[in-house]
Amino acid sequence: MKYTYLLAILCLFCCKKTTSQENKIEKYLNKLEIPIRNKVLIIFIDGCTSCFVNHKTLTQEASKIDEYQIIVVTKSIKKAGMLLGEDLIPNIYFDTELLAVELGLVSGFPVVFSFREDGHLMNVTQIDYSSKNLSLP
Amino acid sequence: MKKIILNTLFAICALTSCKSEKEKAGIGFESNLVLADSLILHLDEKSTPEFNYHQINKFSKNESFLNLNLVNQSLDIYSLETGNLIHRISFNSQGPESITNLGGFFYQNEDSIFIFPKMSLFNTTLIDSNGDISKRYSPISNKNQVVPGLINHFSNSANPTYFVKNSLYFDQGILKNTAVPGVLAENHQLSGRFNLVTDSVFLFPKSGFPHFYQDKTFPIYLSVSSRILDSEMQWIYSWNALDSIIIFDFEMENKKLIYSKSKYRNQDFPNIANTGPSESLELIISNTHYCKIIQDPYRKRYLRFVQLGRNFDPDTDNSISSIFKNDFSIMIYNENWELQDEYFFPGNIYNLYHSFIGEKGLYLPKTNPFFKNLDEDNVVFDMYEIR
Repeated sequence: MKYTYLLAILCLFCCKKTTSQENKIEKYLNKLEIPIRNKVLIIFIDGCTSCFVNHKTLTQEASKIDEYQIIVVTKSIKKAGMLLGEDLIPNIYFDTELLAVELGLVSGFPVVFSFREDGHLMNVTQIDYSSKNLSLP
Repeated sequence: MKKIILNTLFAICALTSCKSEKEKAGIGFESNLVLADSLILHLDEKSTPEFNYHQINKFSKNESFLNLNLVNQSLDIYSLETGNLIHRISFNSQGPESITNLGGFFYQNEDSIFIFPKMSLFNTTLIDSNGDISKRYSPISNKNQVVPGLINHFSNSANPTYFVKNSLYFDQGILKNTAVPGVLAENHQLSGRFNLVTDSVFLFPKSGFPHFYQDKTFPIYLSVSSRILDSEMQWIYSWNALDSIIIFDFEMENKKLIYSKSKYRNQDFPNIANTGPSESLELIISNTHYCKIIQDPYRKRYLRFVQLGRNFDPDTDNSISSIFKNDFSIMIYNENWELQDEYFFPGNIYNLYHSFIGEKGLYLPKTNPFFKNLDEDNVVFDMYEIR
């Protein structure tokens, strides 16, 4: 359940926000040793398999923009390989321990964390796959 | 003499303390569910262990496991005898022959395979096993619906859409928040028939929420059901928060209820209105509830899966995926709906949503997201004999 419902449920849980969101993303990026850029896109590809085509398009779009760091959250080496294909994508990192999920940073749809120049978190945007054109903030 | 008595008492204590409160499957002299064998499913470089949309049927005279591969955009067919991929239908992503936005399938035979789009019936495509398109279907809009023209159709292994006598029989998801008071009391029609000859849709008037739900509020996950069409052409509904199983005749006119309370469910579901995401998640994780129901047509049995509640950990339970850490049980009924037994299974190993019945018995795959020894190329399906 169900698994179409899962999509709706994931949408609900995607909206989770806590006051310590900034602490969490900071802790997360430190742990993965990822330098903060203007924008960090976190894609949990094990969360919504039926979104895989969208995940692929989004990854390709974000990889063309210099200010983005992309973090692919997955336990599946095979799926990551199929997501990225044979093309080398710069600024891409992997979270194979699903730490982003454990910290509540992502659960269903991808999330973009935008930072100010001083490194503080500015806002958090969830990518909406229901619209026809995927748009990155 | 005193020593003998003490030794005897010690032995009795040792024996009784070993008896677990939760009986595991296959343990016990007269178990109805016995681990008999394992099948290794060999996945190639284009396949991952995700089997939410599957079906068992004959392909080239072989008992086969058909799986909609959403990562590769294909329908993959495996032999249940060898575990090898025997056929693959790949879908074009562009052009007039494209099939995109995959959301389910129904395999009738090698000439008739329905491919459903995600969350809709519009543009349902009929193909054959070569992938050639025979026809595309779109039902005529029904103005009486909540959102005219929209059928929030879904089809997966817990709620398959069936093709019977020129029609597709389907379930649709509710479009409202069931945690809001009054929503579950409304007159919904959640099951329907799409006549492929007339392109018309009929929603069954009695296919709404059960009476038990009327004065309650539940998170959406507890407000859904698993429903199957059994070999007697009856609709079997297992609602997630309802102890009883509801059985409808084929036209959904008459129903009967079978009381089916799990021995592991010892408290009522909290009836809390307007729960937010984290409260909803806690309710789902911590409360024993029902989920998938399947029929074993070979041995005339019904199997009801129960997700067992556990303590919610706000530090690590941050997504619905955490439900896979929960233990589960399987209630087994005979053809007269007499409970044979209920068997306990630990969490973190199997994925009950990927389970199915084959000629040999119940197949339970070790595809739980928290299973540590998952081999992405060789997936183990434990096979349990059902007696």
